Amino acid sequence: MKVTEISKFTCSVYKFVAPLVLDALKDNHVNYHILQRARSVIATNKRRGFFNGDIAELEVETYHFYTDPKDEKAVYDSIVAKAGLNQEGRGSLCVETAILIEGGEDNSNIGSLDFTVKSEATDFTGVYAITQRGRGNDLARIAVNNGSCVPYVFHGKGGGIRDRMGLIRITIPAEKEMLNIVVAEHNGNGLMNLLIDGGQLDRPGMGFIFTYPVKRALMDRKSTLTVKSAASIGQIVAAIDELKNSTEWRKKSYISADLPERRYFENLENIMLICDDTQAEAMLQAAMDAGASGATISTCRSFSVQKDQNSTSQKAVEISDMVVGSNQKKDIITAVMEKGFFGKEINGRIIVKKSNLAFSYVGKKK
Amino acid sequence: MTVQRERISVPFKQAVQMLVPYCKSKIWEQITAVLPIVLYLIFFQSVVLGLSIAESGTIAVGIGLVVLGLAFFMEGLLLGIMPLGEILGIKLPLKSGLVVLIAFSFVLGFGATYAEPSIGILKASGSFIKPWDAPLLFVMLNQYSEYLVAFVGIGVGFSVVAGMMRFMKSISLKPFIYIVISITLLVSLWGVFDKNIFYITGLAWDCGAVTTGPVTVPLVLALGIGICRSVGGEDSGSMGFGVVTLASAFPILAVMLLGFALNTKVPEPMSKAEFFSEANKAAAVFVAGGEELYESLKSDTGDPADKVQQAINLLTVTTEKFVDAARAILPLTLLLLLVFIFILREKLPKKDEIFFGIFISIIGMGLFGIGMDFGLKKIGDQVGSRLPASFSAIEIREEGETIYNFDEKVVQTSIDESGQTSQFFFKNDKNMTYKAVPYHSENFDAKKKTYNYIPKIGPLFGENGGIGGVLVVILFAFIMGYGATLAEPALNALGMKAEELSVGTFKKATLIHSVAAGVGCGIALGVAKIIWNLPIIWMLVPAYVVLLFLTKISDEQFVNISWDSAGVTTGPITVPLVLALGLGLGGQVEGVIEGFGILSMASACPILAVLVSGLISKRRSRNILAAQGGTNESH
Repeated sequence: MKVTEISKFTCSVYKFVAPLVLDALKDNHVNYHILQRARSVIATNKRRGFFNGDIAELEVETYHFYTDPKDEKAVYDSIVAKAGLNQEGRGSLCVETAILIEGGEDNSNIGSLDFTVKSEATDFTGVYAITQRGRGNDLARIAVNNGSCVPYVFHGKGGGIRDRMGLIRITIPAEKEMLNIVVAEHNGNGLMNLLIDGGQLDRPGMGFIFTYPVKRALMDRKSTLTVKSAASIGQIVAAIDELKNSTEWRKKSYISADLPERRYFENLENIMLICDDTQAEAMLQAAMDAGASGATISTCRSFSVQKDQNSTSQKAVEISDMVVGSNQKKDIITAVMEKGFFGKEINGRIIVKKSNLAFSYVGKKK
Repeated sequence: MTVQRERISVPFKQAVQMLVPYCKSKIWEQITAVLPIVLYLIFFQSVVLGLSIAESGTIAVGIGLVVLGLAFFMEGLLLGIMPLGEILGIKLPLKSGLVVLIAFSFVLGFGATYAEPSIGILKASGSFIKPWDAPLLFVMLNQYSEYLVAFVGIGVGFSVVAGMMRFMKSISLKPFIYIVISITLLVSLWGVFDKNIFYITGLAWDCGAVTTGPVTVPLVLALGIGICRSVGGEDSGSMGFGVVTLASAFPILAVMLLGFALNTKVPEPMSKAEFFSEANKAAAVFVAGGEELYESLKSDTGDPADKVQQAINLLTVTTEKFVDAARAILPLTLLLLLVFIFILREKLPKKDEIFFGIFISIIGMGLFGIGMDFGLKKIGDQVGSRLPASFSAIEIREEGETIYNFDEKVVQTSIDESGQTSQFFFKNDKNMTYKAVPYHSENFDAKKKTYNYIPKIGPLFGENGGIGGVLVVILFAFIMGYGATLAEPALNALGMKAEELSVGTFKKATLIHSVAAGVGCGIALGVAKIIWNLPIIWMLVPAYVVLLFLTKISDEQFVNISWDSAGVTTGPITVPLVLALGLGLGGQVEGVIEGFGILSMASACPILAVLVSGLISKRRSRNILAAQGGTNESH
């Protein structure tokens, strides 16, 4: 078992930018990445045509990959430059500090799992919300209308208590939508609360939300469609954004950073289990036996550059995303390892990241 | 340190609480899908045609069964049949060789043709064909109908193989379309030089449309999605769609091939007298399929309407519906399960869900079948058979009555401006309203002194054969096609998968409504074909030429989904309604030799509609991206 510190990148771009990102990855010898399909949600602010509402949804490709922390800055700059991400309307890029766990010859060194993910002061906070399929746009609308960056929505399946029930489970839809938004650090909690209130996430079965620290980010700020004209309000706003070097000045103030009386979970870590297709459910069951409360599973594709550097092999992988208490991490990782997580059938790898706060309906205190 | 996974048992009361809203939402979904077409048929029959609906009670129960059946069937598809197909698609390429995959695909395609019998539909479509008008068509539908099914099966088998190979090798669908459609069009154009071939083109194109049924489509789709997930390149963009397209196109070629092979044995189309002449006897006996059948053909002209009635009545047996459902679902799912157990040697994940899904899909399909016969099909037949009343006078046999003690003395003679005389008599009803009724001596039974009175209605709009009435029929056809398509289960499954795989950027509702509009236009054109007796090939060729062009300029993803939607449209709701419409018109309009072609138009137009809507939505996203300022640098 190999435990290494990494910088985990998440790059979400529109389809036409994707080849540029891939070029940048190649240039920087990033030999492994995962592609997840997503959509962006932007406000159109007016009805455009008969069938179109107040929002537009556009196809997005999200790339997950990681580098050595010392290469982080160089890779980041290279992608931004190559894909033109400092231009609006192309995509977003963010970096988190994380730990990568891979299988090795000898997987008995369990002691190396006693690590902690470095937590440092960051400028950005990511908000990740999980809700029922079909409600992603409702949450996205709340974020967009409050002047945050472009939200990205992913599809996944929920795993949790549902899978432990008998056939009656079919009455609970497993399909989920996940929403990812990165905002300035001091707005993180405010946005989380807006989403909880607006998305009614404080009701039973409505979803789960958590925040996480983001070390470095360049977010697509153009979350509202602006009309093309000589000098539009949009351009003026963009110009001031550039002068101020942030979008803070134009944000409708989020609800104060003081958190309302809610029972938040703290001391959390976000575990991403990456494994071969169709294996995630069994792994998730093992993780749940060891204490995890539930997870979302997304089907993605992984691309690894072969040793000869000329060809790329690709396959379907499943990512199970779960938020657990820091003290549960070791049990969970050991449990999935015992189920052969690093074996040939599953080819797993684990990425552990820090998470700040999480919230979900837990029922009334007895 | 294996912790035994604890199962959560849900108490009965809570289970009911969970079940009720779940069932409610599933049933409501189907009600909203079926209601438009039902309301429309009722409206048309009672308000536009001004006729009462016969057996309205039975029809209401039938429609209820259709809704219930669809709800069960859809859920069964999503829980059982599609996950089974997908998991097999994921595992098969990884665990077995190419040969196994090819063999399996062929068996699946070939078997699907037998599992979902469409030959009955085609036979009914051709029931009023006279052997002397189109001998080749007659031979293929009767004496050689088993060959016809086998050829269609081989066509579908090859297409599934080709489709799966496409995914394995990430080949674009476009070259397949260019080549197969061009050949098919050229072969069909041959009909201009050969009358016999001319008459089978409609059949061939319709075969392509009806082969892909409500079980085959979702199954093949799921299998393709699975294969793409495990081996397909992301860049191919097909995502698992495209097999249904080939499964619609290859059978056309197969049927044309059979036609060419048989063409040497049958005589040219001729008049009835020539057909039964002594010189032609050998050929005619061959066409009829034996001496006995030849004699019976010679003596009995047969009323096409009665034959059809019989064909539909036979199907109304309830058990038969469930047998049909089991036959459509069980062999195919068993094949998949056997491959899973004996070739992959793996444990089936979520066994309970999959078996339950298969079970309720059979229940659903059975209920649906019964409901169709008692409900939707009945009202469809009523409207279909009376629809020609809008442009010509038709007899309403159901409302006929016998007048007893009829005396020929009441018959009077009238005269028109050219001096032509005709006979009529006055008839009154209980309300003492008097009506002049034309007198037909053949309806008078002199011995019993009874007169068989059959009321006539129409033309309701304009004069006989006038353009006004025809337009009403064409408009009716459009709306009926639109409404029926909304309820098609296979299309729903396709839309769901497309929305899922595109993370919501490709909307199911957009797809369904574009397809529905396409089907509406297609059926309207097909009806125009029947009324004006236009050659089908002159509609198919331009439509497909435009399609080939649009395919060239569209994205791979849209091309795959668009062409697939053509195959799924002609499902268990649209086909019977279209058939009723086609037969109603075919039986009433003079000079119609065959009623084929509506379904093939209903396949071509949706492709057009989806491709166009794809191009529009692509332009829209490009505009938005451009307005966002992102695209000023091209890649």
